[in-house]
Amino acid sequence: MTKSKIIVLAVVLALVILGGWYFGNKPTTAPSDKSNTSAPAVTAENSTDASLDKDLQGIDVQMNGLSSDSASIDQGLNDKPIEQNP
Amino acid sequence: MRKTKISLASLAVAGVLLAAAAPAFADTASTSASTTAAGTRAEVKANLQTARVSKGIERANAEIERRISSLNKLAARISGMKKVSDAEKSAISAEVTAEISELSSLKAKIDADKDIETLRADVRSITASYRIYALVIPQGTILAAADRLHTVIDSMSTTGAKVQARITEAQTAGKDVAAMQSAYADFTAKLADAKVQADAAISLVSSLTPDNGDQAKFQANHAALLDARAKIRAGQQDLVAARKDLKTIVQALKALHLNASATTTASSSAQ
Repeated sequence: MTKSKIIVLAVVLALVILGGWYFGNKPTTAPSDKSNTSAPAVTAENSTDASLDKDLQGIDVQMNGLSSDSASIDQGLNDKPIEQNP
Repeated sequence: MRKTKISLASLAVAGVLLAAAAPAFADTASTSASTTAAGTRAEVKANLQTARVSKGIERANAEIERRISSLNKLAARISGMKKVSDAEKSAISAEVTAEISELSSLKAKIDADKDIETLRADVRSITASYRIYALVIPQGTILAAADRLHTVIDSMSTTGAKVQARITEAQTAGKDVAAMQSAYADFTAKLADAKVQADAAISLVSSLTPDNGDQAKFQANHAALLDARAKIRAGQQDLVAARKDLKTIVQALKALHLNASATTTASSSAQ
C-alpha cells in the first residue's frame, strides 16, 4: 500500500472515530423541551364564554384519549401469553 | 379286502401329511396379521404426530399474531407522539420494529415445521421472547401516555391563560373573584404536578432494556414499570382536578354575565 493511501485511510478512520464520539455524546432533547413554549395570544375573540366552552370540549376529547392510553398500560402490564404445549 | 387296506393306508398317509403342513399354514396367516397390525399402528402414530404438530403450529401462530397485532398498534401510537424527545421516540420505535421482525421470522419458521421436536425448539423461542414483549409493550404505552399528558397540559395551559385574563378583567370590573382565584391557583398547581409526573414516568422507562433471562433485572424492570404506571395515574388525576377547576372558573365567569372585552393581552409564556 502506498504512503498516500495510508494517509487517506488514517484520515478517514479519524473522521469516523470523531463522528462516532460526537453522535454518541450528543445531548438528547429533554422531555420537557417539546412543551408549548409559545401559547397563542389571548384575545377578546378567543376568550369568550363560547370559546372557553369549545376549549373545554377539546380538552375532554384529549382526556378520553388519556384514559384510553392508561387502559393500554394496564393491559400491557397484565398481559398473559397463550399457553404453548406442543 | 386288499383294496380296503390300501384305501385306509392312503387316508392315514394323507392325514399325516396334512398334520405336518398345518403349522406352516398357521404361521403364514399369523405373520400376515402381525404385519397388518404393525402397519396400522405406525399409520395411526404418524397421523397422531401430524395432528399434534398442526395443533402446536396453530397455537404458536395464535400467540405470535396476537403479539404482532399489539406491537403494530403500539408502533402507530408511537409515530403520533409529539411531546416525547426524538431520541426516546426513535429508541422505542426501533425496539418495537425489531420485535415485530423477530416474531415474523419465527412465524415463518414455525409454519414450515414438520416434526414435533423442531416445533418444540421453536416454541421455546416464543417463550423466551415473551420477556422482551412483556417489557416493550408497557414501556411504549407508558411513553405514549406521558406524551398525552404533556399534550393535555399544554391545552389546559392555553385555556388557563384565557381564564386568567377573564378573571383579571372581572376583578377590574369590581367583581368578587376570590373563589375563581383560589380555583385558578389550584389549577396551576395541578398542572405543574402533572408535568412533574409525566417527566418522571418518561425517565423511569426510557432507559429500560430487556433482561435476557436475568431475574434480578426482570424484577428491577417490572418495579420501574409499576412506578411509572403510578406516576401516569397521579398525573391523570391532577388533570382531572385541573379540569374541574377550569369548569368551576368558567361557570363563575358566565354567572358574572361579563364577556371578554376588546382588550388584547400579550401571548403567554411556557409554564
